[in-house]
Amino acid sequence: MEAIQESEYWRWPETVWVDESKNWKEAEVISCGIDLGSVSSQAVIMLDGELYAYSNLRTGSSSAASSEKALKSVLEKIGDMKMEDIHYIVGTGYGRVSIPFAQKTITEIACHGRGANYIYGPSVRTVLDMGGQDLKAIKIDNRGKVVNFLMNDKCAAGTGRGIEVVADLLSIPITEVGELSLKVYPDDEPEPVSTTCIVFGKSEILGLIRKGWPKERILAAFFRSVATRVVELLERVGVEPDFAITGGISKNPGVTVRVQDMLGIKALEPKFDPQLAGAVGAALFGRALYLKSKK
Amino acid sequence: MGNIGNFVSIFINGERIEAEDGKTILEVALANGIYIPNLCYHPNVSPAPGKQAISAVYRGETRIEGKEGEYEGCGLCLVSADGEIVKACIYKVRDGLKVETESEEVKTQRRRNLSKILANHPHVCITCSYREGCDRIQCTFGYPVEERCCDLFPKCELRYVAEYIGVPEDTPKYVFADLPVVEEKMYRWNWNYCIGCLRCIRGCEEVREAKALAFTIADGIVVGRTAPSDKESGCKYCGVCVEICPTGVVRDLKVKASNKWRDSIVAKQLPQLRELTPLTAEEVEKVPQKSGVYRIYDENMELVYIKGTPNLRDELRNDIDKGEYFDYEEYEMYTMRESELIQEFLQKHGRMPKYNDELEDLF
Repeated sequence: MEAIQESEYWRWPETVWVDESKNWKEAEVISCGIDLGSVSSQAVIMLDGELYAYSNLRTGSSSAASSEKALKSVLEKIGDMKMEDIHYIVGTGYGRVSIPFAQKTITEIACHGRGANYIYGPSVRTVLDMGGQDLKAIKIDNRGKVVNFLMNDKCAAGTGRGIEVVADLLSIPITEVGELSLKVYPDDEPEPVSTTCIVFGKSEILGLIRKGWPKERILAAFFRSVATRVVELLERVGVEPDFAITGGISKNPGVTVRVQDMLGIKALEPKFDPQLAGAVGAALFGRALYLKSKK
Repeated sequence: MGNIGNFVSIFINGERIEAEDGKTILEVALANGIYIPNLCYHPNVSPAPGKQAISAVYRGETRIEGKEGEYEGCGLCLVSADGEIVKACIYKVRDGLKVETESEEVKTQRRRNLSKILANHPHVCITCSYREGCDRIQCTFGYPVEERCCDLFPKCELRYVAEYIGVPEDTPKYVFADLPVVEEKMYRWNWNYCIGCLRCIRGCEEVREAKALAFTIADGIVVGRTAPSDKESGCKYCGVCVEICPTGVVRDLKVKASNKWRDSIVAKQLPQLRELTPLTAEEVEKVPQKSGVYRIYDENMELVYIKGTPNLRDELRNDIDKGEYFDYEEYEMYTMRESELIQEFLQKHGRMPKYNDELEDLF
């Protein structure tokens, strides 16, 4: 905790992981998906359609450099794999066309659907993707193919960036804000902050700090309003079980617990890090594209 | 020319068109790919102008007294016919008729009539520069919920027609009138969205042969039921009103129950909001080498592909075989814009554009 510098409370831990039990040299198809988002970037390596290794890093100011860094980190973690060993690389996310080495780009909507299908299984019909700068409610079929979606990219309310701002404002590490807000949940839950707009919300939260509200109550009020907003979006697209949450905010129980309770539906437990959904979907498309090209 | 007795020649914007005698200008124009804006017109029902009002209608239990009288029409399909301004939805063609659909005078009058309609209907979203990619749950500009458009926005007919005609600067601000929202067994009626086009009334009467809906004239057109409840009014729960309404007044309360009457209501032809360019090598060379989004259309002007790219011209060169027409817009955040346009298409049509669905064989 002491290591966290002032004004860096938003900083979430970056991860690089490899499945040591697998030997990539035995794989027939090695595919890679890179999801270059506004806040985070993931590179995923899959062996014959199974997750093998990934990196999950913060997106820097240059999209091209961020995608290279994400791929380089995962290759370093694997050790002896080189970029040339990968059969197919697919880019996705808002920065997808700035990935210099991607052979194809696919929209993040298609990739999230496909990735959620892999991470949560074929029973998922409704995916809530809570990303860095937008919210998406995606309906998919049993193959992970998108049948409908509704998004908001015009408003930072309920997005990862919005939560980073609040973590900073309260000087609480972003990994702890969700859990902390649940201290008062559900019995002592305050009214939601009246606006979820992060620009106006910020001044409202400052007002609550001045009033001497404890931080867990402020967070509870904030996450309550985020959850309300998310549930409204979901209800518009229609929630059909099974339901799953992807994206960075899926790791924030302050939001997910409230959303599930308000909907009265439990979200599925992920088999892997749900922030990887986009990159996993891209890697799976990459495998299919490679196999198709060989035919 | 065996049918010569049944056909006449008319001129629309200088173009000679063979038209079936007895058809209206609007029907002939639309059938020949010439768009004339229209709203109270619907191909499944008879024209609205001349429709008679009754002395009272009901919105839920509330009885609204008014006057009898005649509906004049929405006034959006005005055209110039042999120099006279007429309603294209009722004016019948005759040999040699010269029609102008886009003269300054008709455009001005259409805008004035649109302004009157929008004054009584929420419309801030129609002119908002953030209108695509917005779920209208939160508003960046802080407009109250009541002044925003409803969730049918991506496929709202009124919105497309308004965008085509152009919303005049001096359109009065919409003031929320807090009209009844009535929940019945099958439907929810939010009367705040009613623009008085009478399409539901004509659908009820002509398609289902029920007379559960009517209108009266009380400080404008007031549409409602002919009795205090759905059952008493003679509602047959067919849902034609839901299908035919151009806005979001009447919606299925829970589930949509399909039936032959409801399925018979055809989708209306909406205006093409941007000018399309033929997709040829020559035209593509005129496109800037800048980032943006382009859309490709087939020979029937149906949208088949939406693509965001850092270089419009280069990318279009690769897609020249995908269709017959295209349009584009320069946009810095083109991946985001691409998603917005795909979302809009998906909500309007319930599927992806043809070539955006190319991933199908990758599952």
